[in-house]
Amino acid sequence: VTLWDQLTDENREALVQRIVGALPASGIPEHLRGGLVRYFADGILPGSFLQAVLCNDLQEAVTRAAPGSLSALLPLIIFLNNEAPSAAWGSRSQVLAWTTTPDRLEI
Amino acid sequence: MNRMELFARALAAYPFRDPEPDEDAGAYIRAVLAHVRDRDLSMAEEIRLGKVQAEWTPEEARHFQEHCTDGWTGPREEFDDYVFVGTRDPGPYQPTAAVLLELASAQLEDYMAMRCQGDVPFISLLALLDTGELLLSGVDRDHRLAALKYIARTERLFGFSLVAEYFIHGVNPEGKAEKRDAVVANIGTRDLRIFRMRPFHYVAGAVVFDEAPPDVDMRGEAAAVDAYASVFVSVPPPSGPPS
Repeated sequence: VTLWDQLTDENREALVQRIVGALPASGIPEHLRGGLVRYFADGILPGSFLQAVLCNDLQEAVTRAAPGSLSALLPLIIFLNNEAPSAAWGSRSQVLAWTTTPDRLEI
Repeated sequence: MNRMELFARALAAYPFRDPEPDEDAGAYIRAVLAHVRDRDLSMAEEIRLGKVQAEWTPEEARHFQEHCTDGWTGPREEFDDYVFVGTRDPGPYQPTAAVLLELASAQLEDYMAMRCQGDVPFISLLALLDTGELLLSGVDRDHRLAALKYIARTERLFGFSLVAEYFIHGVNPEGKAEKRDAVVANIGTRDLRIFRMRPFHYVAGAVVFDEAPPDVDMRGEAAAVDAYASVFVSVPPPSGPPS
């Protein structure tokens, strides 16, 4: 049972609304937004760059960044700090505790 | 703020290229650090330590103070593929230290006034020639020394003043590292070398200048770390009246 599983439907709905509502003004590129929503809304791990950011692993984030993605690093971190549940990101163990697809973790 | 966030803030403040296809992450991070270090010494140290300056221990602050310029090569001394463009004011201005200092004061005040309106994206260069002319230009940080050396080689340079915005790094009496914003004038002739600082802070986003500290004489021991000590090196002094 992950932390995500422990959310009530009400809490989950509120979280999704907050995440989706905050994304347009976040400065996060469009192609990264879907992965973030799926991670927080459904616990599904995103691509490896976002995984590295969620795990707070700078070395891996640099390694796995697509061209232009590193410029999104600051808006991503600000977004996570302001909008995401702190228990859902920040280290590999916290990501593993949140995700419903731990087998997809590449970091 | 952790290392990733500090790194992200540095990339946002001083944009840098993407990693090369065959560049490993460690090499890229080191390249970013070198890029940031050239623009903000303490920001680079914050990334290296993984914590903001306010959280450094006295030992870390002392280490930074003692080693922050280790390995720093300074601005480039020669142009590569760069064209120096300047405006020539025929003057005439007396090529004396007093006149240079007066011109430099006016240049500094102009720059401070511009800074109150917003970022100034260039370094203001003023060169007083033995002919009484003034050369005025805006240069970038990488070419500020190369421009001065170019003028010293190709003109009869009496003295110079470079005005720019810098971070001034220091350690306070409590052992905490501090960084101050300042507009700085570097003024020099063959016999004179002055560092003039006008620190400022922000109030509700507006620039407010603080009390001006005394000028610093950069000759003597300070010359060892002075990038501008070499401006007149290898340039013979004028041997007669200007033609």
